[in-house]
Amino acid sequence: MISGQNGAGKTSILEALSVAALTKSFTEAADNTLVQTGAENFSLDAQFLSDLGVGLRSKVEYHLGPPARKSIHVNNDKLRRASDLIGRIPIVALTPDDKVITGGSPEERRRFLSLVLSQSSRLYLEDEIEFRKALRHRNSLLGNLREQGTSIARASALLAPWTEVVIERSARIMSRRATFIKEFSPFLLESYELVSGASESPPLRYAPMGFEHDAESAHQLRAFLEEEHNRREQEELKRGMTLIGAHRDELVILIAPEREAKRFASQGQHKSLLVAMKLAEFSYLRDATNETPILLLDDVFSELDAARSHRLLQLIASGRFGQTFISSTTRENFDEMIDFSSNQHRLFVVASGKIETR
Amino acid sequence: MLYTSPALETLIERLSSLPTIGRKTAARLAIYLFKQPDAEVKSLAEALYHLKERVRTCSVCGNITEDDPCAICRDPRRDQSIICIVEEPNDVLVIERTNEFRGLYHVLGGSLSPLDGVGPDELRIRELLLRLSEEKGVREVILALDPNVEGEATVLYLARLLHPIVPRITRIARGIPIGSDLEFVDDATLAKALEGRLLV
Repeated sequence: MISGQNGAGKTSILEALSVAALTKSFTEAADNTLVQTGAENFSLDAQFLSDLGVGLRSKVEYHLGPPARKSIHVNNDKLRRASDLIGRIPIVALTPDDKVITGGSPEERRRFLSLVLSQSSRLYLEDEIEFRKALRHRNSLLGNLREQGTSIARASALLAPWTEVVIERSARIMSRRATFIKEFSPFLLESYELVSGASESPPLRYAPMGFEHDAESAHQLRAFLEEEHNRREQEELKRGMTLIGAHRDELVILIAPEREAKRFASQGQHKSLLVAMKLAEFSYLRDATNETPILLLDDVFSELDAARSHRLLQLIASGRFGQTFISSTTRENFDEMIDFSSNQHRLFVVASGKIETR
Repeated sequence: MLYTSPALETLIERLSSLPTIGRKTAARLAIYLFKQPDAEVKSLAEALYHLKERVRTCSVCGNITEDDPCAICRDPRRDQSIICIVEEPNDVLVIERTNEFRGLYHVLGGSLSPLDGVGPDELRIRELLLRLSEEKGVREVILALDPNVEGEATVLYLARLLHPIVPRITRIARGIPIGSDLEFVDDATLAKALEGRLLV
């Protein structure tokens, strides 16, 4: 547990762990904002120990530049691409900002899917990186074609290869997401019960652009996307953007049949749901990667009511999770539930830029 | 930082406009060159001068050459019925080093990349079509482009275009480098290789 006043630097410590494991902050902050004011670079050197006792040393260095430079070393080997580190050190972070996952736009839930799946499947991550690239190319081409008023036949011929790449990657990404939701649901059910104490269970529904059939079949999805594309290419040309693909699907969280959490969940239900999603993410990743993820809880307890706080702390104290980092401004609830004098739990206090062990 | 010599400053500026060379490296190179004997620097200057004076692209395949058409296009022993399509002249060099390919080449000059404003008209595709209509007898086109989305889109575009004119269109496989240990292969390559596994 890391305790300290607001602005003392607690989150920075958790962010450092995130950068060392994922190459970026869980707050989605840009790299240049992670550099200390007045400094030109940051440098992280972290050592991790896997469940099997194998060590992994991750070094992330960033220099503001210009041009900005970022280098990542794993066990002294320089990585060709930042994405080569992702998934090797599974990590789950929960912050008050994550409430957009259950209450925000579809994009936030896609971001959630993408973060979990990128850490659990190398192929998924590759597909996503390539999909995003191809999508940017296709949108740029659509924009140009619209501007130049190119004939439909010529536009179709120029778009065709990009359409094919976008559809092929989308079908794979979407079928992977559909399978994930099926596998993730039991974990969510279990953790929702633990967090809320209620037996009501939030079902998930994957809704890829109105596709009604078996979304796990990449083959069927491809056929569906091709059909949609034929139907909508004119509209795409008119609007200058890609309207079909993995960037348009949606993960729907339901609190009751046909009642979407985003609209119908109470404040309390949102909080239970969010914590449950994150704990389920933890269990899923542990299952998928054969490695216990690191759990980061950034200022979470101030947002939860006493009953939910108590249950979450109880879960953590029970040793159900692996190494857990908690940042908090208050220690009240913790002292009575967690024995900091034992070897299992450690308390750090951050004040005026210094960390002290208690 | 500015040097007191405008000539040196100009050289640094020129050098740092080269790919992968930053200003610091450019300055180091410039100072190094200044310390070299006159003859050394002159011969480098001459080499640079001849580069544009003598070197040109082959009007048939687009490869770099001093004589047009290039040595590969003129070689009667090469298999005229197979054309290997690559992105850059460097790729010809790399494939030639294998000693496994005895056909002809066609250098596109890049790959499709709308974000950089590169469409079919910016590549040597028209030249390719013209060439295929003139040189009958081409049985196979091998697409040896970079394994990224731009390369893939280019492969798809060309395949569609060439299907009516060329009997056989192939693309190079991707997989694990020979002679390397599996443990040193990057995860992405290994994952793709697993996906494209072959029956034995």
